[in-house]
Amino acid sequence: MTKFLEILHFEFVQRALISGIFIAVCCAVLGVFLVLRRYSLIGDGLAHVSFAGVGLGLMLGIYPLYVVVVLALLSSWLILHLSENSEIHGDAAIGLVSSVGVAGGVLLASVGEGFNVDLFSYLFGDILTVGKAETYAAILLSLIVMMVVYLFYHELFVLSYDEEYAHTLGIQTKRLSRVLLILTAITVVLGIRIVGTMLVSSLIIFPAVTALQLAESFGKVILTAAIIALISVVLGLCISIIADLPAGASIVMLNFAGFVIAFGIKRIVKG
Amino acid sequence: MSINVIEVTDLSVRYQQNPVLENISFSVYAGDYVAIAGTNGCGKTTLIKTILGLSQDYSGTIKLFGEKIESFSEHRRIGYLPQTSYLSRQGFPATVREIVACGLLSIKKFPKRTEKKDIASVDRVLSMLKIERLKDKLIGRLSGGEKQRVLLARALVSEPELLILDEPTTSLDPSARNDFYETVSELNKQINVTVLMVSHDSATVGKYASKLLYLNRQIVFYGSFQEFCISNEMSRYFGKFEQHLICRQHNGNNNDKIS
Repeated sequence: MTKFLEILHFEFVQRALISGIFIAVCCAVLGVFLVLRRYSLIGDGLAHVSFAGVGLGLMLGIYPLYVVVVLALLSSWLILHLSENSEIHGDAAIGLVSSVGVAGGVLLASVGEGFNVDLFSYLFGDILTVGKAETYAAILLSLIVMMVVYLFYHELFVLSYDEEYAHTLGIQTKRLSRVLLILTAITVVLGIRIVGTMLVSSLIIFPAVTALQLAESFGKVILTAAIIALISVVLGLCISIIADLPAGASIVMLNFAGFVIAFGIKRIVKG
Repeated sequence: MSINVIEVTDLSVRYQQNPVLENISFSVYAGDYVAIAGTNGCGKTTLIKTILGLSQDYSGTIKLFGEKIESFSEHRRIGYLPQTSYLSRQGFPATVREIVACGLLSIKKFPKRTEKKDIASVDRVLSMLKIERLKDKLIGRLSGGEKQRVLLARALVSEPELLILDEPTTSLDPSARNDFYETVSELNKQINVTVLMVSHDSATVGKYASKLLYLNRQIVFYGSFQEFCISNEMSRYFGKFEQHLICRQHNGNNNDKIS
């Protein structure tokens, strides 16, 4: 622990902590709405597309996350468009977009052998290399996401429970679904720097599913998910520094441990 | 002269090129209690979803409170109870209060926030439906009958003038079903809420409704139960015995109320 406190004085660790907390809390809050709307795997899908985006960015010599933002936004629009305007269900639409993303990434990796090392560093992320600009971007975008969720909280709640009913209340359900996916795409892109494209969906799914085990009300689920995300990032980073383990994987495994505990508590308390 | 709450003219609805409803025209007036009946796939749910603006692929005109559905904005005047099964959204982590408060979103302006008076409105409607004790329970842990009452409370909390119910008694046992019909009937009679209810249960709903709309892609019959009882067309659809049974239920219930 002393080692962690000592290392906490380093700017790169402070940046990792701050950006990690902001992004993980964002992922967790959005995750509650996505899990309840059965869009849990959208993070996975968008992350896979991001893999191709990173490859494309490296090949074209553009900062990869710029390309990833554009690709992720386009993909989220495509997923929603396919599931709303055709016979393709949401999960299948995510699967289609996701596999094209992975295939595109692999093709780009095989073509551009020179940047393979960089590309694979995005697969598992590296929170400790987050720069100043990225930290500011993470804070700013996270605040925007949280503000939108705060302003549309009730609309997002009813949309998650019953979309058709939400429409009869005069809520612009299609527009709101798009807003939710745009926010998710932005958050996923930010999450890639923490845990990488392979694990970013865990930041969306785990805190939400864990909080759902302990739920007593919708408001408390959101709050619990945010707290779980915060604890997992702080503890995960702490463990990774002390034990010299990869930060992203440590955060994910802590989330898993949290889920197992919550699941056990639910079984014991609620029977 | 009663207010024209719903006015449907020459409505035709298609689903994937196939006609689901054809040339539907009817009006519902303030205080009416209309039961929509018909066999599976006859277009009952499609009809009410189109009236609510949930289906876009239609021709004809729909007016709610005199305003065309495309420009209708007074959603607070309508309470809707969708068709749900007992198992649907079983694990949803919301309390009864949170679910019922959703019904108030139609009267709120951006940004929509819950105030103290909203909680009071929610508690009042829960108390009116005698389910106040459920207010802090999770919706997923309720029985089918309790859940339907909660969703009815959600439909009523904005004090709507029109209540649209889609097969609200599907997952209820006979006793809960009768309780539910009684509750809706009281709302119709005591506070003059107009009711449009889809039901498979023609015999039971006939006990409470004032009019019957029988669908089979087109309107086969629309009128009062007195007219239903002497309709030869309905005799052919229901058979004389079933028609007689429905009429007896309706007349019996009304005679009970008179006496």
